[in-house]
Amino acid sequence: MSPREALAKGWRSTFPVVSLCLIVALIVLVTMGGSEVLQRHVTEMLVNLVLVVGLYVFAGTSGVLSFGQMSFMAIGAYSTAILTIPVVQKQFLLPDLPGFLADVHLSGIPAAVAAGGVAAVFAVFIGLVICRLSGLAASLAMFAVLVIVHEVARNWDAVTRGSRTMIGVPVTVTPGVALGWALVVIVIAYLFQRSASGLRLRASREDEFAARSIGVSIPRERFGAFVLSGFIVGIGGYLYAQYQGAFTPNAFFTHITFITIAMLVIGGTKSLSGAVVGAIVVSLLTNLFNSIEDGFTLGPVSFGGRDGLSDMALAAFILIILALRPEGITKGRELRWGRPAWLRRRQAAPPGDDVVPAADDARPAA
Amino acid sequence: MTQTLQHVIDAVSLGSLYALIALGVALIFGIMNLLNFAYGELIMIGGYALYFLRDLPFAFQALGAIAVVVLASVLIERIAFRPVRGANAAVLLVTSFAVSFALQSLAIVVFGARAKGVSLPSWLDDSLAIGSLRVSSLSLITVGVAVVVLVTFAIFLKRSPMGIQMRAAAESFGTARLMGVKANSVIVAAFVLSALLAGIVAILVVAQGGTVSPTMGSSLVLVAFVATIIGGMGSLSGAALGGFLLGALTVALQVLLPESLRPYRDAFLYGAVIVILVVRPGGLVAVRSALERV
Amino acid sequence: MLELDGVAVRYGRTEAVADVSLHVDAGEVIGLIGPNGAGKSTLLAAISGQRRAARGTITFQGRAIDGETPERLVRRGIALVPEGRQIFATLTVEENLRLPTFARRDVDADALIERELERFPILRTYLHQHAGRMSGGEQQMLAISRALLCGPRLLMLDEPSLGLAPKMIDAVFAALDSLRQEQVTVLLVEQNATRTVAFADRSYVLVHGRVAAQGTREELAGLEEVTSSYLGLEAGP
Repeated sequence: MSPREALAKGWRSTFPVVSLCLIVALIVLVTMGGSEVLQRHVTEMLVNLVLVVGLYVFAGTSGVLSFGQMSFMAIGAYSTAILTIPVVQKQFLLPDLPGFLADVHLSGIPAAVAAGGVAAVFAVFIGLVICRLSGLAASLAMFAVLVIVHEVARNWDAVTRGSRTMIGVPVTVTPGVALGWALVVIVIAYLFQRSASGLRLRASREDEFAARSIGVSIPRERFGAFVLSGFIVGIGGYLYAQYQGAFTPNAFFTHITFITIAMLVIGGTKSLSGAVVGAIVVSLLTNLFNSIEDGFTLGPVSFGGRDGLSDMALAAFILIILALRPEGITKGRELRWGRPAWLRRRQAAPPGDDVVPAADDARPAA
Repeated sequence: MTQTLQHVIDAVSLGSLYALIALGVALIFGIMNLLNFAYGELIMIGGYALYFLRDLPFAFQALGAIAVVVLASVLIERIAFRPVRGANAAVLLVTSFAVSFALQSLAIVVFGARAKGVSLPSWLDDSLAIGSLRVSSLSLITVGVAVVVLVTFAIFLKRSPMGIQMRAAAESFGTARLMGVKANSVIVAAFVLSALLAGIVAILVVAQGGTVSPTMGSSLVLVAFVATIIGGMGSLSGAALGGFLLGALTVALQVLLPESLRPYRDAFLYGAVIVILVVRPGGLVAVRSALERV
Repeated sequence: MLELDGVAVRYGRTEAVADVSLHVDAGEVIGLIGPNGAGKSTLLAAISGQRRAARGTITFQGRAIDGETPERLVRRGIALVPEGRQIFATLTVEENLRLPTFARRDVDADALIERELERFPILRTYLHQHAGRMSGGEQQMLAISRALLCGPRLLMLDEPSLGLAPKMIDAVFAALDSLRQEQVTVLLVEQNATRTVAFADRSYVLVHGRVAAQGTREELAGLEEVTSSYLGLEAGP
């Protein structure tokens, strides 16, 4: 291969991740000078983005949609609280913490990695069980895990303050910090996807039997993705904790589960671009819906704002997408270098991120 | 001894309730491969209908509530599920999740997030003395209703034309259509039947708790899903059995767990569920191979 | 009665059927043979409404039927005995037989079922047992009866002899023969080429989704290519 061809190939293969990072960075840059409310919205979007990318790393690559990945968000957030609340405050807020937990204090990147690490450790144990189950059973088992984590968080006063609000977490997450982590996470997800493990997993996603026949061990591959997913979602928990400064167990339950799944599905479950695009689009939409929720006037008619309207609108939106374009906005494809699909006439798809062409129908019999 | 009997009655009663819920979910799942997250919200709708009709005599209130639930169920099928019919399991699951979420939010918009009190006739939840036992009439009614419903169901499925068509569709939807079975008829029938169950469950649940809230259905539906799966996907009797066992297990945990661990009862319950899922992935009742022929 | 014109059917991106034109007249027995993967089952799936044709038209009794649902087509008079029989194993034999009668009006279901029990007496033995207990050949009888109970004008069969012992295959063809006497129009897809060509009035040879050859049994019997190159030496007894 000539140097020129090598360069072109390198560009083509990194384009998806580079373009995603640029898009996200651009959004943050553009809003940099904006109002504080706008900054908050952007930070929230970025935190959600990290969560959705984490969700994608497992769900998108293995095809198993886990209804409980936000358990790791909870674990990450509570770990963050324990690790980063100044020791003196901790003694007051969490008087019954066991010795070493009471004394430890981290901040910045080590704290984030530690929080993610704790979540990953939990993911190892949970994953050993979950990754043996078939798709539907695994999805629901994860929902059971979500309920379990929620229950434990609500009752384990010594560590989580039970159902009382966890307060006092240092607020350090600015749009810049969130952006940094978002980019890191996107790159990690992309590298995983392109790695041998990622490819094997995606083969299994398309056709479980075919993958097994070439020696792919599905539980083992899923396990790796599961733990990585737990790690990333744990970091999302860290970001959430250090953005809000305070939270309760309800922050990690059905609402966020729905939001993140909606983002992934609307964007396109099968691609990293889908996760990112979904997070951006849904954040935009919820902002729009939220402003409607506060009430608005349309000509002579004024609509009173009501709580819950934005959730309804989001739910309605996801239903429409599922009916009309079930593969999501990106249709499971990554952003590609070259003329967009609607310009390209019917050529064979270039080899790349679609490992195996989507075979939705059963194989023809005779 | 009396204590144990009390517990057994509680276990049977809760088990019966869960069996009914599981049946409602399994009915739809068997035919359409759809785990209906929104089933909990059907129960919620029943609850709010009871609230809305609270000034009517009980018979009308109950029948009206059931009618509302059936209507809602048919509408939901038409609007939300028909467009995605035939899609893969993940899309269906997310669709039902979205519907569930939409309905909960709708309830919050219309009724507010706080629970509302609904008082049903006192004979529903009275304390009866049977020998040395104190039994709530609701326990007996629940068990009685469950038995009647399950038997009626079994007869319906076995004998009636629609029942046979539904069983055929549950085994192989495509082949049933090749035999002239109308897809829409069977699916709507399933939604109607499961809605009837949801309505009945709503009455029982409201009689017990006395309140309705937007989230009243969510915890129940998880039980139903789990029961459907541990009972063996595609088996109605397995689902009912699974529901019954979960109810009994819940009461057992409540009784047997030491005081300090009791708040974690649900955590233990779902832990047990995960264990069952791992140990018996095909469900407790072995079903003819659900795995497609390769 | 049935006419296909330039029909193509896709699976995802591949065209299982590329360009097929054929016709079936009332009372005929038409054979459809060809090697594995030629598109025969796909074609039947398109005619029975399970798949949509990507191109071309399918006309039945003068009306275009592309895009109709399977259950509507049953009412119009097309019945399919699917590949692998696909009887309802968890239903009893009687329930299997009664099922198609629900869609029909003004019929004496019991009388019709009785007629099928006369045709295949073995069904009577298992009448109240789960259909899954019968052997492959017996299930094939059930599948044929079940399709006949749809009251079809056109009966299509997808590889009815697949996986059956020779004696059972004989029984199947004997049943098809009696159908021919009853003036039922039959479209028979088979791998067993020689026997099918000999049995049918006319046959079409499908290769790679196209009609490679067609003709009456006399015309095709003579063609060397039919038995060797097209069919990969699939010479039956």
